[in-house]
Amino acid sequence: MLARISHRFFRRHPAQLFLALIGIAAGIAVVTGVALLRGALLDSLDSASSRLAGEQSISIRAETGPLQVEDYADLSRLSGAPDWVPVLRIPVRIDGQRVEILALDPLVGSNDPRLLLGPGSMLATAIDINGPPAVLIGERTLQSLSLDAESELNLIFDGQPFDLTIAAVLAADAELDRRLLMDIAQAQDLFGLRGELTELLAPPGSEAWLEQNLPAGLVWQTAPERRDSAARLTAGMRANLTAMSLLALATGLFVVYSVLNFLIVQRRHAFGMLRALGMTHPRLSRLLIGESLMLAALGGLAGLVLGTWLADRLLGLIAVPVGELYGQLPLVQAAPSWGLYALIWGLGLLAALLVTLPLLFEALRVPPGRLVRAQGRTGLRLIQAIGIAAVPILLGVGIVLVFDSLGAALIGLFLVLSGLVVLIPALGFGLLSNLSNHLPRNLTGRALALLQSSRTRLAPALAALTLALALAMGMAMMILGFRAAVDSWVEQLLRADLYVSAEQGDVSPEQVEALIALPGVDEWSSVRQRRLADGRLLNAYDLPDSAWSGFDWIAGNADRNAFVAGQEVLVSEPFARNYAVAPGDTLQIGTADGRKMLTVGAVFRDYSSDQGVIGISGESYRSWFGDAGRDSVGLYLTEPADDWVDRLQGLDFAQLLRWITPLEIRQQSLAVFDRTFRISWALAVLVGLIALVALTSALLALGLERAREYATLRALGLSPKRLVRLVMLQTGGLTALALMLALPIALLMDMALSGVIQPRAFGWSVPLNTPPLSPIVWTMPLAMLAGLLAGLYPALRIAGRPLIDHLRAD
Amino acid sequence: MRKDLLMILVLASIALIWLGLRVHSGSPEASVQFSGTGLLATAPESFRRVTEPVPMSFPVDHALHPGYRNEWWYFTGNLDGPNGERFGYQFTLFRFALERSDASTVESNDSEFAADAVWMAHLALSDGRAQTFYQHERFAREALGLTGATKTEWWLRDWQVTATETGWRLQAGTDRFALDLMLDPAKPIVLQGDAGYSRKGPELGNASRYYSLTRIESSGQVRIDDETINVTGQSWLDREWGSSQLGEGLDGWDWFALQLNDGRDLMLYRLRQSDGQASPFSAGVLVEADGDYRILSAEDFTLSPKRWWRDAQGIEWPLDWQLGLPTAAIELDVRAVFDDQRWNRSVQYWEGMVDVFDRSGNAIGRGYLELSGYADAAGQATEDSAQSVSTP
Repeated sequence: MLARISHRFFRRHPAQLFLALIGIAAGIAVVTGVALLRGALLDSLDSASSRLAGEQSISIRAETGPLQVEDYADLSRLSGAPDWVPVLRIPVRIDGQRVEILALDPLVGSNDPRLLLGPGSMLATAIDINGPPAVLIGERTLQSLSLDAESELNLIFDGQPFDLTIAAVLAADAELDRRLLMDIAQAQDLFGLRGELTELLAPPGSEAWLEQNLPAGLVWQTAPERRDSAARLTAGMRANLTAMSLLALATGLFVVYSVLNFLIVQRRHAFGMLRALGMTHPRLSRLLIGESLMLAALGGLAGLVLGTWLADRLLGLIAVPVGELYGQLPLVQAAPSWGLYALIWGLGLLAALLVTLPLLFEALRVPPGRLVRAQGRTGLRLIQAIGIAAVPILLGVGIVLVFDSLGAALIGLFLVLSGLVVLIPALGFGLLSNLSNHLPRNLTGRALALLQSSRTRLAPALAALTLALALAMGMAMMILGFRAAVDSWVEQLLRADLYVSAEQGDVSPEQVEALIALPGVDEWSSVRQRRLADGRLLNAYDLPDSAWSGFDWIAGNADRNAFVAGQEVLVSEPFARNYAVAPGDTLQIGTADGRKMLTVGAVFRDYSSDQGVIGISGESYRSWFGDAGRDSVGLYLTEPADDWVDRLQGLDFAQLLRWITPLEIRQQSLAVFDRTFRISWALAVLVGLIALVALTSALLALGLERAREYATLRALGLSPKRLVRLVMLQTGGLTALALMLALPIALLMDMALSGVIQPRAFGWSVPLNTPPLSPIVWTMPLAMLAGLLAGLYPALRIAGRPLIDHLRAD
Repeated sequence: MRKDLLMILVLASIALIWLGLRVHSGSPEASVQFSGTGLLATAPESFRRVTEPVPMSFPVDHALHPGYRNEWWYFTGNLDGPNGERFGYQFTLFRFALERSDASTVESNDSEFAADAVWMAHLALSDGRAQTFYQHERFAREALGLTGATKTEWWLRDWQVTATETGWRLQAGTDRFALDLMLDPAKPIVLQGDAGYSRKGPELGNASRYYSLTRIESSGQVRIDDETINVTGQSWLDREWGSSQLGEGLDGWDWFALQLNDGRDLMLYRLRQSDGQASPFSAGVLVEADGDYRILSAEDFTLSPKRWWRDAQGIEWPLDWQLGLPTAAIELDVRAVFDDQRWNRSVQYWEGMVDVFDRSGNAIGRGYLELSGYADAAGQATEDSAQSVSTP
């Protein structure tokens, strides 16, 4: 019987059912999408190695530079040596996408069935080591490149084009996403990399042997260590994603709450009847809880599907920035598991149950036989609301101030938001009542006064709407503000007139000499970047005064003389945060000249890497690493760069160089920034969509629920035209109210994201500036338009149908 | 209501199936095996062939012979511990030359990894106490000195046989088990067939060069996990190389290497034809205690399986045999010391220690038995029957 009651209701009100399902699905979809995305970022890090040498494989690398083939040959013949898998990783591009060639010896490695790739083909049989060069490619990778097994692969390596055929397509396998397998001899020959290896993989359990036998100059890392250091690379991005997804989920939950709330409010009358007919409290509870769970189960299922789809799309969005910034290759497709699905789905049910409980208590309070609509409670007075809201808000702020972690920041933010949720309706309706008191008693005044009377059912909707609008605007403001900060940082940093780098490889010392000897060069700077064996980034700088002054110091007293003399090093802000170092601390780095202990002199602002860099003087670098090349040389000119370029072009090695102006670098940096933040935009848009759902559901509910009231107004002589105006005034008014409340919260959100979440997630702070207002400018008219449109449908429906239907409707 | 419920169920099922497909997007499981018989049956034209006797000289012929499709160095042996423990071992290096393609040759490939031969090493230890068979397989390309064979050293990575003043030292091991043995030949080299020219099929080139050391005094250690045991015993070395040595229509072979307590050694191999008959090219050798030997042809001996063992995959292996050599008045029973001494890596075969009995049941010797082609034939039979089922 219970099921039949629910069924009848939803059959008559399909829009309600739809809104409830969409609200739940949207919330679950965002959480699922982001959870899968996080997984895809993490999984991709080390999966290829684990495929080749076992889950817990150990990687052996040279402390400086590439591993030499001779090292492998020697290590192979040592007594008791593990089954090495020699690997050469070659970054290439196919059709603009980053792909990695894993060149290996298909004959070695364990006899682990992991080496058996795809139906009926072992690596050794799939790769013809004596045939023409060909690669193995995963089905998913092939699809992501829009190619088929017969296609020829056109690769770009080091600026040069190469063509390769596909030897075999491997059955779908996430672990080899964006990777091509190839015989090492063929790869070294084809790409001209004779003698080089990236790493040796050893099976787990080789630690004791390595401890005893590994020669100096080689270092090893276990799989967990490798995963840790790789995970650290994308930690900021993942943390940021999580924060955004939780915010989106919170908004989604409010939508669910407001929809469920409406379902109950709308049926007060029906519940009164049922109670009068003898339905007991437990049975009524079962009815409501059953309904909520059913909605959550179905909406959750739809959310899982949507979320998986979303993750696949978002992966496409972030693949490029993740590759460019972190050198990581994310999966082609998200790799979900039943466990994760079950967890999220279960959480969805739980959340639905939680939001149902307060509603349930309200429904149970409906007295038996109550046929007349209950007068909405007046709700909390503003002063009461402030009192209640102050507790979580103060607690949240306290947590953020006391604890320094990202988790604490998120918890704090949530507490503040939940406080605001209590505050919003009280504040909103207080504002509304003030406003309507001062308005003339014409249609507008009446419309707003009528809103006031539906306070109970509109309160959750108003809170959801306000929060969603505030989040969408706040996120957009944060992104734009951050972009402006990056822009001004780049502008300040780039002091030279022209930056010169090599077309391939590095700028040699001879080329540097020739460059700076050209007339018109006043001063010059240079930078050389190197990744240390432990994964940390090292920047070696040659800095004249003018370049030195381009640095924005965040902590410590930067002493240029001490830096140049190699007594002090500089660290970027994210580095200081990630590795918990401050000026005065010491760092240890492995160099070709042995281990060096270095004192941190100062911390500088840097948005180029969220992993962080160590800056050392070029002179120290060259003497410690024996590497005199430069990645880039900055030239300070006494004449306009455009004219001076002619002199540069006169050099006999000019065709080996490329040059770029600071303006172009700035544009490129912003392009990278925009790519990186595409996913944040995507999430902001999602939250915006959820806001739209919240808005539509609240307003449709308002319009539909008051159908009988409107019909009465019409019966009393209100013309259909004026009725439409009345309804639209109400929906428009509610939207305007939500926007008004959302504005200050959006500013608060922007401050919280820029000032607390970003520094804790990425390690960089954003200097406080005037918040960008364009998101507000954009959102306002859009929301108003949506609000008016959402009012139009119920208004026209009521205006167009015979009065008697509405008067009879429950 | 029922219709709505049905629709919801259908939609939910579709969603669930879609999720299920995304969860299980491929976890490939496959295995691939080489057919031992197949590897030895064919060779492209470019390889040298064994077509007539050629004088051998030592130690030069201990080294590898380039130009042939395949070559192997094959040790087997029975060992005893101080407290009556029984062990058997096998250490084999297989060299398999790759077909030269015009597009890519070792000479034109600019990489130290370029190779035109691939080596496989098999190391096995049979522990008679626990009836446990340890096996490990390795591959390496013939590059960077990873593997090779000279007059004085045969190796694949750290598994190696090095010449000593009186013989060789064999060292090979894994985490689980290891061997370190001093091997001193007790008899001179035996040239199989016609002065080392061993014909195995009717075509010219269906032959190999083949020599053996049938009795090698062995002493040293075996290690199983953390337990090291001193051992002594007798080993056997077979050396063989050629291209396309097996003729058409062969399913596999049964190979016996027996060391009798009276000092004689007996090697027999039976090449099995697809029709179940022994090939006329089956052969053997009987080596006297003083090292003199007599080549045996197919007509000289009889071999009949007496007991079959069914392995976990359902493949049957003949492990007990009755052997007759009338011309030497030899009647023997050969029985596996224990059943499961079966290789299940890239090549499937049975290679294990056996005991030799006279007809009265007295133990009169030991040896090694190799059974090849049974797994391939079983696979073939399964394929055939599957085909006959699907064909109306």
